[in-house]
Amino acid sequence: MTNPAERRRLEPWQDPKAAPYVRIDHVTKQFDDVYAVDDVSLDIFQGEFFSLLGSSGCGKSTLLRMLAGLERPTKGRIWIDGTDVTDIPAYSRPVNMMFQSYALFPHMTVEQNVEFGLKQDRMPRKERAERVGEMLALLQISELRKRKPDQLSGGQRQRAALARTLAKHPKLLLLDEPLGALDKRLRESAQFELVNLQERLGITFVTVTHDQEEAMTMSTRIAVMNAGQILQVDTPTTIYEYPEYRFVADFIGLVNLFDGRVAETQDDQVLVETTLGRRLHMRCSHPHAVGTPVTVAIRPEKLRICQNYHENGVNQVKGIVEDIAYLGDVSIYRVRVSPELLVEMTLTNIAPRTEQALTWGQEVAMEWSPTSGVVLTE
Amino acid sequence: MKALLAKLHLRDRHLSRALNIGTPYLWLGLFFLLPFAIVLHISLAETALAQPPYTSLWQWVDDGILQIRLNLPNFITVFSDDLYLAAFLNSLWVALVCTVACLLIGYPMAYAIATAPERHRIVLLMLIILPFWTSFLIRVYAWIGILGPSGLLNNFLMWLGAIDTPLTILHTQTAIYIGVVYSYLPFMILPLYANLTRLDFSLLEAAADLGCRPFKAFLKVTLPLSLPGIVAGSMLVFIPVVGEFVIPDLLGGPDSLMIGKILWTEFFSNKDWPLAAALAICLLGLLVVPFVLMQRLENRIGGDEL
Repeated sequence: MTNPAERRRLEPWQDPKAAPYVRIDHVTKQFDDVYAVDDVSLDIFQGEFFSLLGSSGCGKSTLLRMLAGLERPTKGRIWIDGTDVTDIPAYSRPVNMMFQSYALFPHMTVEQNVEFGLKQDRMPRKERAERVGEMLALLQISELRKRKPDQLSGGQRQRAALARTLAKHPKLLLLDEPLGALDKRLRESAQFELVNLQERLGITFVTVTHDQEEAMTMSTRIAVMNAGQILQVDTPTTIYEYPEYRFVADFIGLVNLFDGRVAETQDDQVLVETTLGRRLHMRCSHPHAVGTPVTVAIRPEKLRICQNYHENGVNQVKGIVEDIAYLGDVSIYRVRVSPELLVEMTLTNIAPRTEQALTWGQEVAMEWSPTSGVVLTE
Repeated sequence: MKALLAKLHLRDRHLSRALNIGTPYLWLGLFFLLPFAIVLHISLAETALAQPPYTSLWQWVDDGILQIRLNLPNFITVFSDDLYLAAFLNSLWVALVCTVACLLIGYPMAYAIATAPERHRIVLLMLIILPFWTSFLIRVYAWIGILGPSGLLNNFLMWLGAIDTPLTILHTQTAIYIGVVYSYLPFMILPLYANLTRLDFSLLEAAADLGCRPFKAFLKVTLPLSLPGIVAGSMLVFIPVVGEFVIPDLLGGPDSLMIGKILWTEFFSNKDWPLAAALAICLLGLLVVPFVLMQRLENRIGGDEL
């Protein structure tokens, strides 16, 4: 594994002595009687690629706009690089934002758009021209400098908008659905490009997205939001493997949820009696009292075909294959284990699909290991 | 057979295309070009005590020769008499002052309506359009009651103690300005409103985000993007005001000459149709120039956006 110093550099949030670069302190934003953001506290560290993830209307964009200074918090304070910026208007903040619609000025060329922010800072003409050239080169749009925004393709517009926000060398770059307007193929390459850019420039990025795949690929950490609140803040791996809430488990990736009650508990192990009548034996980090209602969450790829199914076997379920989604590399099997419950199992297509034994209407038993899922209470 | 059908089909398409393009030209020809030709014809004639009161341009002389006589003295009169020149200049001046005034008053109003909450917009727009439901003439007459020596305005100011003797506003150029700005303000506000509602306000947020204070953001973003609305509104005010007749006639005084009023006098009081027609032709020429210039400007702006 990496040494502690390297680890502190890569994961500053693990270091109790590290000072956060952005501190959101009990921030609430109220629109009339709706709480768009409800008492959110969050620390973001320098050099992070931080994602706010949630479905539309969860308050993620409002939180981002408060960082930009476009909305004022109803309650709470926001600190950026040690300065309380809560009362500082957008035009004096050392922060730049890339808008979801890009908001490129339609009456200006790409070059003029990129130059706009620098002009506001009264940067000398020569320096300005240099910086603009640098930014256009960085995003590989130098040959488009004389074009107007409506003469650009979606991808080119995204680059122009990015060049404009980066031109002022902001301390913090905010990106509202940065890849939302791009088509799927372009989005994938743009994801990697954005991460490379962030690593090269060392600027702290905060992005807002509803696309969990995008958040997983790009982020150092993800904050999952729902109804104005942050549910969980963690690395993509932790969010995926060890979700703390049913909502988080369900929102990110596919998951099988088994409801039940704790039947036995011993050290870090629990035995869960599910409503299906099957017993699940899981490892879990928090001790749970016997009788606590819990949900066991298991990812489809953690399931495997069970050769020795037993009537009273633990971590085993059986059902009829109802649907098969063939995705090329993997297939997702949807197995009806009870009238109410479909269990999803992902299997790698080692053999071509046509040669596989498992097919529609067939009975299949599945099992998993005690360490491959989590026990959730909320 | 097939070839014939295809040919017919082709001819059909040509015909429908000709109809499509031809209809507006027919309309323009019938209702704009033809009347213009008639006015031009009259302007080249001489006055006569007849019905209609001008001579014919052509007549047959003895041995079957068609004689056409074009009289230019009407145009010479228009250009040589200082009265007409002064009236033209004053009309342009009044139109210019009023267009600027309408823009200065109308822009903030249009902006306020465009940025008002959606549920209020319809009501505010209705308030702008509402005066049109009363006759234009009556609204101008109403200003006589307001601006007169013992009108509402003077009475109010004297009641306040701001003045001792009534101000002379009615029958001056000031009254014309007031009347014109009042009457033509909606023509400025409506195109501006139409333009400003289409403004993407995230552009202003982007400007703020890039370090632009609100007023500068207005100058750098809102104003240039609303230029087509400003041009449209200004044209809708400027062009009719140059030829305005009712307002100077009712509110203006003897010293405020406007070409529309003189045209009226020549036509109806002096029964000099040819001279009036010559004036009308000159007025048209005068208006075509700014129109073409503005059209060019608009095209340039539009072209830039492409």
